[in-house]
Amino acid sequence: MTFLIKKELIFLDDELTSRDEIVRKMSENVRKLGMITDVNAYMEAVLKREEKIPTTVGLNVSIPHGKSEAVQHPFVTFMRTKNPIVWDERSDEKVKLIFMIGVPIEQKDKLHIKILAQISKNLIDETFRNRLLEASSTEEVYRLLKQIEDHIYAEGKENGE
Amino acid sequence: MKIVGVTACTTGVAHTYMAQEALEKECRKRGHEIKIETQGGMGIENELTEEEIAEADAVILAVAIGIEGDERFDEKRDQGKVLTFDPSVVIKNVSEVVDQLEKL
Repeated sequence: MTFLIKKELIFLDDELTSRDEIVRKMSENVRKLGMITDVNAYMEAVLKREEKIPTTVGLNVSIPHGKSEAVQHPFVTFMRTKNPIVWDERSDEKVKLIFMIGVPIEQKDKLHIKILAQISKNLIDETFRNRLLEASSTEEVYRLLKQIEDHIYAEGKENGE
Repeated sequence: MKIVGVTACTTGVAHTYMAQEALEKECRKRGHEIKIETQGGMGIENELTEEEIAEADAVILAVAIGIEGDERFDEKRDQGKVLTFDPSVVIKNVSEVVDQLEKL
């Protein structure tokens, strides 16, 4: 069983202030970790979606995502920026919490998708967002996200998935 | 009120489920009955029945892509009971979106 939530995928209080730089930094990291094969191909998918309509959702959150052949394993990587940044110049909406998601063209692992879905649902909850905004360490963020993953796996086991 | 809807986005892992959560939360807070079908990475879940669609006072389609079974809503469309938005717009402005549904 491969776990989705990893400490190496969490960036806290990063000083980058531009969307493209942030997407690049996190993409290069997931390439190093072996989740994607090609930074540019993945980034193209992500930025194409952003151009169509920004993935900000209010709530200080954006969820850039790409479905691409470059993605080998589904992943979610998280960054909290040091200061609120303007995500897309077409609006003045600011974000501090960035969840970047990658999924392969062929989605085989339903549990992984379920974890990504559950994290997304939790983001609607203000208490959960505040915990992410106030967490004082990578470890703390890791535990918050890991809880969600553990819960889904436990449920999956019960249902014999 | 009875509200039904569908949420769907391109990758089907984030906005689909966030929009579902936001709509369910806001509608329940206001005492509406709500059922949201998701068409995402886990396939079609919480599928709406013909009866549920027929009985609905308003339909919300929070979709960024073409959806399965769009024609199920044709009759409601003819009655002016269907609103369509991008899922991120729904998440961002869920209170205004439900205001609009209430006025249909």
